[in-house]
Amino acid sequence: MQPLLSSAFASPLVLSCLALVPLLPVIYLLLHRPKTRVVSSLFLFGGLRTSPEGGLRLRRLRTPLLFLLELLALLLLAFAAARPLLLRAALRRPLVLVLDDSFSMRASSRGGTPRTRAVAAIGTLSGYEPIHVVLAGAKAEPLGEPLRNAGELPRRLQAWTCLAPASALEEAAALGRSLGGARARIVVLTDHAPRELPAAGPIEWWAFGEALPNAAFVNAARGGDGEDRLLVEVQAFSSAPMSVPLSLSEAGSRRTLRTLTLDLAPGERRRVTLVLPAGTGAVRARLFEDALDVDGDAILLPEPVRRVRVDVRLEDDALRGLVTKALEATGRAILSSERPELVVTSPGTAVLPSSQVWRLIVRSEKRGAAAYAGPFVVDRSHPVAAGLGFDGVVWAAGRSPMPPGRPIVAAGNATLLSDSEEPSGRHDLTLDLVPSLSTLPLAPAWPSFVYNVLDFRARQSPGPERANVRVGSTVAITLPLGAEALDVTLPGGTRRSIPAVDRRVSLVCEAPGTHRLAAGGQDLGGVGASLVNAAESDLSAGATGRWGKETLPPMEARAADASAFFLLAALVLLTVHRVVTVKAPRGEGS
Amino acid sequence: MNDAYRQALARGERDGARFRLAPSYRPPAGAAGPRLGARTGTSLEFHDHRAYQPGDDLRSLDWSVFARTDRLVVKRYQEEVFPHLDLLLDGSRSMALPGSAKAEAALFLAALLAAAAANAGFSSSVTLTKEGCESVRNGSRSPSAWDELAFESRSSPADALSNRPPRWKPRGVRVLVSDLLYPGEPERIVAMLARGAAAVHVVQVLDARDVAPGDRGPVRYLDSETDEALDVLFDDESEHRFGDALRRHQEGWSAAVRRAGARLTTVTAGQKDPAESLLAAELLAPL
Repeated sequence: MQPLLSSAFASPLVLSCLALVPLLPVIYLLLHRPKTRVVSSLFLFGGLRTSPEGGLRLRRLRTPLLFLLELLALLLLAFAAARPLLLRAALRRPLVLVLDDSFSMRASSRGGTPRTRAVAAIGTLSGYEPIHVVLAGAKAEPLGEPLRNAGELPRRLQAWTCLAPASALEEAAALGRSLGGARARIVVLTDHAPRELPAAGPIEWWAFGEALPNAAFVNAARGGDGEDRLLVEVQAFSSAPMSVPLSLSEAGSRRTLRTLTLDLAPGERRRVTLVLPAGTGAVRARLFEDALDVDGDAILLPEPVRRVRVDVRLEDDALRGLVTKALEATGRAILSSERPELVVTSPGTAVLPSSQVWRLIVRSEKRGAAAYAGPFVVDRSHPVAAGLGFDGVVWAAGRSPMPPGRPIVAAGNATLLSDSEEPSGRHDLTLDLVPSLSTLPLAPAWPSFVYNVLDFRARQSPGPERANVRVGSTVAITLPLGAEALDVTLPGGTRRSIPAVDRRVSLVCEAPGTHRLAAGGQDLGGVGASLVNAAESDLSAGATGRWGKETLPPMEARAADASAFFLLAALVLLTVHRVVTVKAPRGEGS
Repeated sequence: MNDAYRQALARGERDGARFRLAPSYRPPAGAAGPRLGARTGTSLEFHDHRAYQPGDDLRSLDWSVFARTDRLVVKRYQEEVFPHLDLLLDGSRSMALPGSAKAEAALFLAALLAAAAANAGFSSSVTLTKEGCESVRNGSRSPSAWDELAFESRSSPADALSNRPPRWKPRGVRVLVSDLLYPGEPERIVAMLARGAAAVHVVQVLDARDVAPGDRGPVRYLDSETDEALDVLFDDESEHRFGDALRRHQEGWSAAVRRAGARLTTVTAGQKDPAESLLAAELLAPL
């Protein structure tokens, strides 16, 4: 809080009346100038002649004093009328900068990018304290601690990368209001005009964008069942046809996989697919350079085929053959007794204690078996039940005790499939099935069930759940046993270590490019992130301008109206004036 | 002579047509005090006898005739047989005080008295005080014929009378019209007026500002006759002191006039009916 610095006036125009102050001495001279009057004779006035003892001197002294009192009183009254404000405190107003972090802020034109122009404009904001910076990406979040002064801004703005797929500006403005308080000046810096200004307080909207044509990837994916298929969608955001060169190349070897030119009509979206040869690594898809490069560059990594090591320890040959066949058909099972991740077993079979060995316990006791033709109650929320249909299926199961865990499939009061999860994350799936009395092994649900079990188990294998995401997305990564943290090498080369919780890490891919993953000394592959968002790639709404409330000055004066003091002082002076005028000068007269 | 003066004379003569001069005669020359009937004087004064009529002044009875003839007769003096009015106008500059109507008032009163005198069978003459006393041109004729009247003298009437006294008719009625605002003892001029006069009347004409200056604050007063200046801070006390000085001056004149057997009447210029003051003073009587 600053001490009293200066005073200002609530009605400064009133001070213009001080221009009349010079009239006071004129009036004084005119009024107090002795009048000249011709009289019949002076002999009757002789008694009034001033004495030589000093009455005249006293009168001379009185005149300047009265004039001075009147002048001071006039000045005080003028100041009082102007309502002087005494600054009790000069407070610096907080400043909140809401920065559009979406990638459209990187659109380049001759004048730079909206981001560079915004940074220049930020340089004009000085005198505020503190300064809050809020990044408006897909979510709004403060960018570091509040700054004490504008000198710290350039370094803080280095973290403003404009690589978010979207900008939650309204949410960020509201966050800014809560951070800065009611006195804060809030400035939103973006590249487009507001739909409507946020209702929360005095918010200024500064836009530095431009309407520009742009071609961009609006979709990029890779995967497929059994074959490695690449898919990209290109859209022309322009009012004129665009001829867009597209190149697909292997990121590592830079071997060109395909090049073509897409002749797109205004606004047309075109899909390009390519079946990649087996063993193809990361593929980079690129469009020609235009106003916005980042949305014309996509990286697509091969989606991991998560395979599970399965040990089938079923005693019943028929059942064993049934299960083995289904496992092999999935293409995701490695049938091995070494370091199994999933053991398919009969009840009572000993399994090496390991928190990583799941069990699929198949209870196929024929004695007392009953056949169920439905209706089946299925817990569709369980991953194992995904896509399973049991219409027309006859499911025979023995009269075994109720299995532990969460029922997944039931018929009547008989639980046919259940899942029991231990605190360590290990699962025991219990399947009551008498294959010889059931049609389930012949139904499409059977291989789907086996696939779901493998997929359920595979998700628990080390590595990311998927290899290709949009920038801003979160991908779950499972760490190997014993690993406590995930080591991530970001696209720019920066390395981060993220601690794991229950062997799992949620990684937010904030930048485009490949994020390399490792944990516990094991390479977990990578995740490719691409900037894909049609709304952000459409630069036609780019605009430059300023909207919003009037600018709030950096300094906020807490002032008190001091006119009462000036009035009181004027009153005192007028009282003294009265006393002086009433009091007769001593010695004057005969 | 300016038109305002002529108009004042005309008004005075017109108003004077309603009145007759009725002066209060002074005791005969040499007969002063309580000695009634004893008279000294010259034959020029005693002119004739007439029968006593009730109301006549007993001091005018000729007791010697009564002793001889047992008839009550009164002496008729020159003033009774040949009454004359001598008007003495103060011609000093104070009478024409700027911004006042004193000059017009004085001329009005002089004309009124002259007209009233004519109605009473008086002859009249007008004298203007300057450095000395000078007869007004056509002053013995009707007031509208008076001419060359100006109030420009820097001398007081007393000085004028001393320097060059007028040729007054013995035993005439003498009326001084003046503001009396000049320093000096009034006895001197009153004595000069009364010497050889049958009756003396002093008509004082004042302006309202002569009585109350009405000023406030610093004032430079200029003497209209001497051009002297005096800077005064005129406040309430100054006004009080001025009033005292004026009152003393007036009292001095009243006493001097009274001692001379004369009368003093004060008229304010602009007063509604100045003749009323003269009527009240028994200098005039309605026709």
